[in-house]
Amino acid sequence: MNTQPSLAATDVARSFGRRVVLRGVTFQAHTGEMIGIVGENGAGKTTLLRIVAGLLPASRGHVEVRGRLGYCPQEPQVHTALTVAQNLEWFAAAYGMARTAPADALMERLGFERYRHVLVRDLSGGTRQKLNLTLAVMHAPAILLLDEPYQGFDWETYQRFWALAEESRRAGQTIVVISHLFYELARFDRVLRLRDGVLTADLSA
Amino acid sequence: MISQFWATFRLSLVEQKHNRFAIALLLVYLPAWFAIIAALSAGTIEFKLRAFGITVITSQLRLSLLTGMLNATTLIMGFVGLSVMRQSEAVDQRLVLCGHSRGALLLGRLVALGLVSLAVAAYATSMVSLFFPVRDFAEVAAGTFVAVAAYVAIGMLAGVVLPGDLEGFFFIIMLSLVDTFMQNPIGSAAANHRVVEFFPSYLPMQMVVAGALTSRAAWWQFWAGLGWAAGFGLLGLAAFWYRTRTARTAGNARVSARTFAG
Repeated sequence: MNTQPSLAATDVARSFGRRVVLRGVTFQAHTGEMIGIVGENGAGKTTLLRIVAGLLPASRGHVEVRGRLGYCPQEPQVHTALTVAQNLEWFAAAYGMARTAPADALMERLGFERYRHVLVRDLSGGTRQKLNLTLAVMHAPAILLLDEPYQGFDWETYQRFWALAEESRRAGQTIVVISHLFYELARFDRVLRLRDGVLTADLSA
Repeated sequence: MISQFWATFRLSLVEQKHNRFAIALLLVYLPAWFAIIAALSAGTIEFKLRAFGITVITSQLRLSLLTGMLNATTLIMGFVGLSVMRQSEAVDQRLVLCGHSRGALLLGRLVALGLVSLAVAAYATSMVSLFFPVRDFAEVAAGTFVAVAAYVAIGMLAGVVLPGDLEGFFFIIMLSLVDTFMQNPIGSAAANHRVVEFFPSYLPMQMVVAGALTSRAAWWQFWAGLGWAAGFGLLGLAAFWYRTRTARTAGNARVSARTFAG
């Protein structure tokens, strides 16, 4: 494992008015490492991931990122008045990709290629989530941040998701997954608990 | 940057093509509204064209059609501006996070909405032309475009500033009703009063009446009328710029370090 972390959050704090959500979170993730962050509803998991992704400024602290990021938000953030293919095209332009071929392969892996020309507003919640995930990983980022990524997935898609994640990790991708519960702790290199605004135990140890 | 502009421009147009409700309103509501006006209007009415210092005497039917056109198109396109902002805010921010240029995103959306406004203005003028021959199609369409563009900008601003869809809808409905009602001397005693000059549809109304009923044109009204669109548009764009900001742009990051000093 490299000594230089690909992702390092140091003493990250965030308040919303008087409500303190994060009190000083510190963690590092290395190349090829899969980290889980678990916490109850409202523990600040999404806030932490949004800060790490760069969507939200922290009140205090420091985040270092080495490499391209991929971020999968909890709620699918997609253009509902466009088709799946048109969403892929728009995000490919954002990533500076000439083609959407990598996304096509992911659609096949996740089993929703037949919805390519269907408007997103006509898709089921699970299929929207597959698109949401595909948009986050289609540019093969070095670091992948996933916020409750398998919400709405059926069992088969859930298994495909983990197969894909495992493959990506073996290829050197750093993956951070946050969830309010994890069924399979063994899949992670480390599982950290976010409670009262600070990260505590490594549950996988 | 250019490829991102084209992607935004093209896909924004596609988004509008899928806006079935707005299209249905334009295709069904507008002609139905005009037919009702045609069935119920009778008599004559005076309307003051201030740019030329003249008062035209015309049928209530013609003036009601022109007022009805402005009212309907500003409402529909105000809602379009509102829904673009409400529905795309989170995903636009995500696109920016993924490396999309905010400038290209803004410009692409703006040009697409401008083109849609132009098409709506031309369509609405064609509809009016079915009921009576307008003297100068281009002038009427240009006046309608100015009103529509102002309400698209108002809708966009409402979409960013107001807390919910309902608040936005009510704001646009009330503003458009008051604004276009005030310009119409059939219903409003204040229509020929100077107070109406301070409403967004004042110059468009002056333009469409002059274009439809006379051979006179004051094109400065077009440019001055665009001032409303530009003013609201700039406020909306500033709000959009602020709302799509990210702490950094993830897609382009190689090595980045962020320090938050509080």
